[in-house]
Amino acid sequence: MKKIFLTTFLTATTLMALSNIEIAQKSDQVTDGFVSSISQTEMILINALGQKSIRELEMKTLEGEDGDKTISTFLTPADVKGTKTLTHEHLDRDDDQWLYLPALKRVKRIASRNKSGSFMGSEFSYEDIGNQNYKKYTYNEKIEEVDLNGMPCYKGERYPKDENSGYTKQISWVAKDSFLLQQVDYYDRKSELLKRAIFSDYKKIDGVWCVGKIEMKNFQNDKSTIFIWKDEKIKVGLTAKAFNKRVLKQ
Amino acid sequence: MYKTIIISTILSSLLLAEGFDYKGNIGVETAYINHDTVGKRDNQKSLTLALELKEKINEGQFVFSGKAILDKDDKNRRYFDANDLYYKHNFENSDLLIGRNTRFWGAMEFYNHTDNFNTKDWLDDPFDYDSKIGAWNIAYTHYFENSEVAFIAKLYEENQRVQDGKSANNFLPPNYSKKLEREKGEDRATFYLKYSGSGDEIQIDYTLLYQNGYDEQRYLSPVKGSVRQHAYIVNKLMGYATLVNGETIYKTELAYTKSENDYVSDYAQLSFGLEHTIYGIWDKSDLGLLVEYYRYDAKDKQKLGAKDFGNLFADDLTLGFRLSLNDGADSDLLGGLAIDRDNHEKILFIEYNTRLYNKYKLGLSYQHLSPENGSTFKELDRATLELGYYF
Repeated sequence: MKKIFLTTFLTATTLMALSNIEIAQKSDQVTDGFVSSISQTEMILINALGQKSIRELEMKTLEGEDGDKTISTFLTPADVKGTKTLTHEHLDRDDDQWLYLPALKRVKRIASRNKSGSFMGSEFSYEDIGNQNYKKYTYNEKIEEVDLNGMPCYKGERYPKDENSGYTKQISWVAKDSFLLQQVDYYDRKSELLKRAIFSDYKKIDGVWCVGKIEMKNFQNDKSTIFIWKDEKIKVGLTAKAFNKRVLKQ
Repeated sequence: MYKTIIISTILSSLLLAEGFDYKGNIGVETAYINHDTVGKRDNQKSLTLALELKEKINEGQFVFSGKAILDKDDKNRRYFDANDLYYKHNFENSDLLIGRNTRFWGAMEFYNHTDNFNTKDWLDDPFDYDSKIGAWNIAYTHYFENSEVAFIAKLYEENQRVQDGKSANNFLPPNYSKKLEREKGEDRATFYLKYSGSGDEIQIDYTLLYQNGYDEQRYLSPVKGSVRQHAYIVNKLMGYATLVNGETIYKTELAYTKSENDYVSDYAQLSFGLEHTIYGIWDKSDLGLLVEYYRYDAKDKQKLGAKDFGNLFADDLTLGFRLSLNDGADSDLLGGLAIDRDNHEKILFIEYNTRLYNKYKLGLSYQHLSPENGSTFKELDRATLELGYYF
């Protein structure tokens, strides 16, 4: 009887244990469903000497099956005010990306295959700020249950499927209770630790968890960038029309 | 006077309106020019002001953008101009623009054959092809999912003012008069039909244009003791495109112009090139490598051709680079070598731009013109410094 109970318990535990990919999927699900959003964001660039420069952006995003559509408009510094980037993400091919330069009234197509390029001079790369869909990665079977600053987390490894990714490996920490991403370590193409992102200030808006702050620390150049969402509204009714090239010149 | 009253009235209305958006800069520009042309200044110093105001009203938007230059020595170069002064009304799938504005058409980086909507502002800088004079026009644009079609009527051809005779940037005869001679009169509009689209599966953007009316390039001819520019009627077909393949962007511009003027030949223009980017070449820096070729061919060699219009891009190859440091100051370095095979000269150029203390922008540039046998130019060096406060 004791043996049957133990066997049943172990089987149930095994069945209930989550795999790395399931954790990633659940982590995606708790932050998905915003449909469309408008946010005022602040990007603080900190160099190796601790000097800061601040950029403010308005970001509009539309969730999509094939990838998100995003338009970012610079509000400060004043010399780049009105500069816009429009990105149409695709899961199965290179993203479409355009840059609008208001001084020249010129819309320029940008090559987007290389994902490791710096996003507006920050420590974030274009792939860091894009949709973090769990399908973009393959996962290591091994999963650890660890404490991160007193918070029980699942720790696992994932590998970008995109051969043009700037990373060979990422290690993620996901909170056990909420499935919210807490930290990611990024390893470069030489498999050396490059950056660490710390996710915090999560807010639940209309039933969807939205990150409030990401601090990205680059260990190889001692620079860091803090991305803060100052004001975010979701399910705002934006449609694909708001992400047409037409809006770049408006 | 009339122009000043209109601009002042609109400006006052915009400034008094609540919630208007503004941006601008005030700066100093200084250039040193090393040349051996007798009677020309070797430097240029000026104060500059640029201001843009926008006011949204329901589905419409008023836009004003103007620039003012106050040159220390050149009295011609003390002026104010409104390049944008228009109202645009947005409909569900279209918009209507009425007023004066500048537009950009083209794909190439250094020079655009197809960027011919506006008259270039030679009073500001004849070698800055992005410096333009606003054009009065009415434009209706209809938008589809991945394309747009526009009908534009340009209502007036602008006079081209130039820097004074002692400026090294003035290549015109001393008796040049800014009054433009228009072949079919001031009331003849220029019409454009423009179609632009983007590929669904392929990363391509393309534009096709048909133009009927005054050509942007003008020829010089004496009238009543002065030399004046002459605007003539053409039918023109143009197209430009960019195609992305991996980390390389391929670009081209094409134009064929059929002249209705007896003195001006039909002509074809072609340019093509590519830009390849190497990401993270050092820390976060990206290096773009650029190659561009430009060609201008007149059909009838007995008639007026590229040189008669002062078009310097008849048979030119440019090799360049852009180093984006991706630092907090958005610093970048643009440089290269332009080889003018038609005029027999080489131009070496380098530009550096960076931001200082979040509010200031510094620009430094240097050009060296090296003529060969057969060139109409003399050896010349030009160094410029621009410092601006942005708000």
